[in-house]
Amino acid sequence: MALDKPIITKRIPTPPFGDPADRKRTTFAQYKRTGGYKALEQALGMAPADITNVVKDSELRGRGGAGFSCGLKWTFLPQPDGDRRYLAVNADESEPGTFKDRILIDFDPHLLLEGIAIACRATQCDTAYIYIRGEYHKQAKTLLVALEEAYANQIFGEGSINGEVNGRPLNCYVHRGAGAYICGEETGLLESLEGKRGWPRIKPPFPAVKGLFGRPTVINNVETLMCLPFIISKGADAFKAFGKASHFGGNAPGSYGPKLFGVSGHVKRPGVYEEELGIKMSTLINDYCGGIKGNRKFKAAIPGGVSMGFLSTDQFDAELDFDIGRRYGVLGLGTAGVIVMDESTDIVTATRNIVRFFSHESCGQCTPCREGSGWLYQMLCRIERGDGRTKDIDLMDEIARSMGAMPGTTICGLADGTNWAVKTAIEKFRGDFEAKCKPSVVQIGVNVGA
Amino acid sequence: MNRGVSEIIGGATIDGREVHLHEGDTILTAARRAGIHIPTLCYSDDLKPEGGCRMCLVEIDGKRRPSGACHTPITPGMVVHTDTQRLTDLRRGVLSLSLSKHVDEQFRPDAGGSEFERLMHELNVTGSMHGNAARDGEAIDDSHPYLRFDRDACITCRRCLNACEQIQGQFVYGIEGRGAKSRLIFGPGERFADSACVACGACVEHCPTGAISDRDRVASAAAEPDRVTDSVCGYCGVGCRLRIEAHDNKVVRISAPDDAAVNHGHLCVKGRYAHAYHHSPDRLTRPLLRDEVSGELKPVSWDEAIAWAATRLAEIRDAYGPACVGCITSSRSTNEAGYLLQKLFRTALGSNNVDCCARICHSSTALALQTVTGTGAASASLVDIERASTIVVAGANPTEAHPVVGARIKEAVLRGAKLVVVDPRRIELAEFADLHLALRPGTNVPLFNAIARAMVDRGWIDEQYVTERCEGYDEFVSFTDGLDYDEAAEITGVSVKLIKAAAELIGRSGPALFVHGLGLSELTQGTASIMTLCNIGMLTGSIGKPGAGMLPLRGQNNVQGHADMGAMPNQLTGYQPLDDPAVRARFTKEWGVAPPLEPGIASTDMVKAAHRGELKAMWVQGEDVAQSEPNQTHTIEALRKLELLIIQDLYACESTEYAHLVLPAAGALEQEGTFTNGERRIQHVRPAVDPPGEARPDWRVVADVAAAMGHDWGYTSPADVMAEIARVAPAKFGGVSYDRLTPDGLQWPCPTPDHPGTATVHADGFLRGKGLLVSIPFVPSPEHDQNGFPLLLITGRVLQHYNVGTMTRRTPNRDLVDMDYLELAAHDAARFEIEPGDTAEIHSRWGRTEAPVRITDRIVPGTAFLSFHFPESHANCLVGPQVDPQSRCPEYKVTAIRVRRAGSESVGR
Ligand SMILES: Cc1cc2nc3c(=O)[nH]c(=O)nc-3n(C[C@H](O)[C@H](O)[C@H](O)COP(=O)(O)O)c2cc1C
Ligand code: SF4
Ligand code: SF4
Ligand code: SF4
Ligand code: FES
Repeated sequence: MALDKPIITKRIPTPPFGDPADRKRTTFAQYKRTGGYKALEQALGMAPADITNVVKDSELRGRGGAGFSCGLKWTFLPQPDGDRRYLAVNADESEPGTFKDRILIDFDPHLLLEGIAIACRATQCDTAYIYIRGEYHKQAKTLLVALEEAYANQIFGEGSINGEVNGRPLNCYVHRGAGAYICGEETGLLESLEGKRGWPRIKPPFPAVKGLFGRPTVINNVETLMCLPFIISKGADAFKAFGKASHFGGNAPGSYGPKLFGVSGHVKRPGVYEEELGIKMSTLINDYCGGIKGNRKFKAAIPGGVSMGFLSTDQFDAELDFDIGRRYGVLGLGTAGVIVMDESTDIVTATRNIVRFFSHESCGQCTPCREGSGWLYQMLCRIERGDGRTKDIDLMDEIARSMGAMPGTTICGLADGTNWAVKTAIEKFRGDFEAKCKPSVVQIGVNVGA
Repeated sequence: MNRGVSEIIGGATIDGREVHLHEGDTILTAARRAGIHIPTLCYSDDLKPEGGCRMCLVEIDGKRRPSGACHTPITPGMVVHTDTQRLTDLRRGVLSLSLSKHVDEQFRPDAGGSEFERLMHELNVTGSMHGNAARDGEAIDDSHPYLRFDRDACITCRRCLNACEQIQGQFVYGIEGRGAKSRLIFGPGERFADSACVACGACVEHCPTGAISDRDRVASAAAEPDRVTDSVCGYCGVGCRLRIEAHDNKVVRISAPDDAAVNHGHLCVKGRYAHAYHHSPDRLTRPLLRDEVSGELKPVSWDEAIAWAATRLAEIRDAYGPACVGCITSSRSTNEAGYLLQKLFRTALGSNNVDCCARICHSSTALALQTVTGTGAASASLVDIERASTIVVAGANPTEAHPVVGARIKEAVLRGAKLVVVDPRRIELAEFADLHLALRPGTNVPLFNAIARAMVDRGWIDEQYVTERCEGYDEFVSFTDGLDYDEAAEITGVSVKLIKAAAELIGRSGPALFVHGLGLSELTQGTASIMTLCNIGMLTGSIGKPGAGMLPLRGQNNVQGHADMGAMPNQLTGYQPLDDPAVRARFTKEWGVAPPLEPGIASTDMVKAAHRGELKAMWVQGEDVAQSEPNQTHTIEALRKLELLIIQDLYACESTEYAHLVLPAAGALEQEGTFTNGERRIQHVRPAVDPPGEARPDWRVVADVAAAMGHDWGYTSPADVMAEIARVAPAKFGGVSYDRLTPDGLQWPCPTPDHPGTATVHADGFLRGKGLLVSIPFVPSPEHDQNGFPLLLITGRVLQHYNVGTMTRRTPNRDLVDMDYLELAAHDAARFEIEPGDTAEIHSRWGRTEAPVRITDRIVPGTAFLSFHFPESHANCLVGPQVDPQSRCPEYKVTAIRVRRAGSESVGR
């Protein structure tokens, strides 16, 4: 069922339910008055395992990009042993085209804090760190103000309503990043929190077992956590009333719940909109964003952050849910930060721009990502300049596939993003590339032995 | 590192073959054990998996994504494929990408080339299919005398970085930039020489491309080694095993076998690189005899030299009696050489005036340990560093003086061991320590007593151990009860709070390992310092337990050995008493002559006796007494008075000025024999190159002189000498023979041929019966509180040099450090109006010298430090004549001095 009233953006005026001009930060008092922290109280009356079960039943999937089942992830934690356990809140939101967490923090920070307290209750974590993107100066301040209110009102700290967890009061801190996209990757984030260079870790061990400072750690995205108060107070079924089961049937996980879509690019009204999962991209663009800018024609879109790859011109009606990867030949829904490109867009330039981002943000650990992204960028520059040859396209495709067609050849998912962008661009817009290339006369790949 | 045999925990299938799994296996370790090869690049056996190169990817059934074999744990039942087309394509693609950043000619596939080139060969990749980066080659960084960095060859695999961190604990390298711009850096400086590198060479051993490499290796690239020898390092008492490659009788490269028990493939700047002294042009190559007419040293034949020595020694003995001859054996020489020289003096010359340079370093340690435990050597072994939960380092600076041990301690701390450092200076290990007790020099006794008191007071002791294994406890408690914490704090400069914190940390964490050095022994209360440290060792139940006990760090490669061999005036080989009839009978039978009964005099006393004209002849093996003995002025006067001075050495030195006969010796890498390291490990030394000219191994020369004196011992090789040593001292060495010394030697006691040697002494109770708790009050050094001499000077070593520098000064280590510095605290520098870069004039009550000043916060006000590696600094002319009354060890570690800027009028107060 389509959303008839806002759920996550309940306190954030958003079209069609409200006017963005009316947005302001929700204070603790306002939050409380509008039903806030009720779900936490409810959760505190439940056994941790019961909370986890409700979340599992809701089939909430992570909103940070990977779409992993939130409840299931929590069950990977070992039994508490009395020592510290951590919740790391991923507010690093650095992927181009993604700005949903920012608005959520800007205007309803207590919804995040309530979600954090509920998650800590469920997972028996005693310390939460909100790792926030370095450039989010204002949002970090907003969080600090909200935290101060929350501490003053016994949500966190000594003597709070949470009582003691692992023999300690529940605490929550804000930690600011320093401007590296890779610190949004969950283990890069942990390294950075530990004060080290944000290099993703090899897994296993997984953070649930050995995370921050070697202790069990849960990592969740801001929006994921903000779904929790609704799920606890209204129940798993109310959440599952939005979205739908997987198109692939069987045990394939479905796409349930409301979702924030951040739309940017060539649309008349870019911005963040809340709708249920599975909404058609065309509906989102036409009904919510007022259609394509200048009434030009749709050419391409990236479903969620630049790492997901391109949707082609004929995929305008793609349904935006977690099945999108398999159904439409992209990596996935990602952050649902939809970037829309009209017919005037040069896909070669767009791709080059995306790859430039990834080659700049690659942490440099893995040879394929470190050298591959730099190499792809140079190649794309060459083609854009008109110096490329058609053979170069195949060579690029091959590299993109050898790293990207088999995701996980590298330590983290950043390399996948690079390659999906290149691979889908070539696959779906080969003409744009060929138009810029000279025909091949010499073979390039001569050096690899026979 | 899967050294031990671990249990099989299940099976898995790799490439269709069943493989056994052991605890902790990754896919790679399990595959390797089964002989299945998986290509790797950033992985190294002895380092944690880095996971960056992605060369080791394998496929696992049921998993969509390939996994890195080097870091993915293998689980029972797993089905793994390592050799599919998909994987080959991937690996070749990745290799090709690595190459894309390099200039075309940089790497060539080569089955015998660098590890990287071998991989190219294996994967059949000849160059980058991605084209090569159009970049200019970067200049090679050869700013460092030993290491060379070629950025063009670096593939950013970070093996060097991990080796540096995980083996040396040094953290030299970092990665700068990100993405394709990532590059290896060595700290903030641009030049390698400006980095924090200590030239241990671990990174060189691990680099797969040769981007970081040995300069001498590169220089001698054409010279394929024609002789490869396993031997033992001739520098410090750690006794690292070496693998020496030589070409045309010149050392071209030294590395370390990975399986070496002492050093696990690791070395330090001295052992690995500082070998050029062997080939120094000023080596002595012929015997030199002082011409009676001209007074010059003139070359003579060996026959003439030996005959002359035999005659003169006999003449002097006959003229003045056996008490007037004496010898000092060299701790740098082999056990066999030391054993034979003391045998020569005890048999042919009838004198017990035999001593070794252990006198001036660890005689206090040996005596103290002998007194309270029953044997004058380490109770623990180097492996205990890895096993220890708490390590106490007292009066030692291992990262400089015993670098491989220093690295092992750093690694132990990084893995979680607790560390307490007791040292007046903030040595490197102090940075790693939980507690640093920066005491005033020479106040160990009151400090250890106060710590012991706090342990007793708070019950932080192992009562059962003390009751069952020790004696003197009641007396000790009434002694410590009478001690006052505030007074101890006042004397030592260590706060009461810190004293108690140390007692708590050491006392409450179970047995501890006590690593101690010359900062404890070279004091007038040297023996007492070590005995009071042993008190703590016993209170905590540490001595005789694994991962704990006493581990003195021996200064020179073979000081332990020379004391063991009986180069001591009051004990025979194997620490056997001179006056025990059974012992005497055994020696008499073996030697054909009874050893003299009357104990001889210590080396420090020999110098004094010579000065008084009572000692007439001395034979000095490989020690520059004129420089190394304290109170230099006095020593030189003494040498001048000798009627006969025979010196065996590698070079002419200060002392040869006064010698009548100079015998050219073979260096550590030029002779066969054994060295015994500080953990009592007797290891086989083999010649890697031949000595230059006519230089000869010391043992051979001694045997020849004996024969010329009518004592033909008939040895054909050093192995024969060891066989005799085993017979005369069966309790310690009865089971030692050359055929048992490969690869890692034997740790004595090793009484029988089937005895495996002893890692932990006193495991089943103290050798003396019960461990002795001693109650020793503080006695200030005569150097304490001297009016007009407001600073206390410590002398010691720096990493790059070794003792009086005769060896290291003849190597490029000289480019690393080219002079001795006086280290002063800023407070003191200001007080005496000395600025950085000034040269200070230093006065003690015994002498004066000058040295450039370094102002540092590593030293506390009131204390100064001077190294003693360069003759120009005459460090030892400052040191006074006082010795430990028990051990006769000189006090090198405390000298009252005053300083002022050289040439200035002001006199520091
Ligand atoms: C390169 C890279 C960057 C990422 N950046 C973010 C980010 O900025 N914010 C985020 O929530 N998740 C990010 N992720 C996903 C996280 O790794 C992780 O899956 C997520 O935080 C888990 O939370 P969720 O399960 O609640 O979505 C990133 C992943 C990769 C590979
Ligand atoms: S894939 Fe790229 S960003 Fe991720 S760990 Fe490897 S090098 Fe770093
Ligand atoms: S030589 Fe040793 S200290 Fe120097 S960089 Fe290499 S590993 Fe580090
Ligand atoms: S110097 Fe050698 S070991 Fe170090 S990163 Fe470069 S190639 Fe690897
Ligand atoms: S060897 Fe496994 S990733 Fe490099």
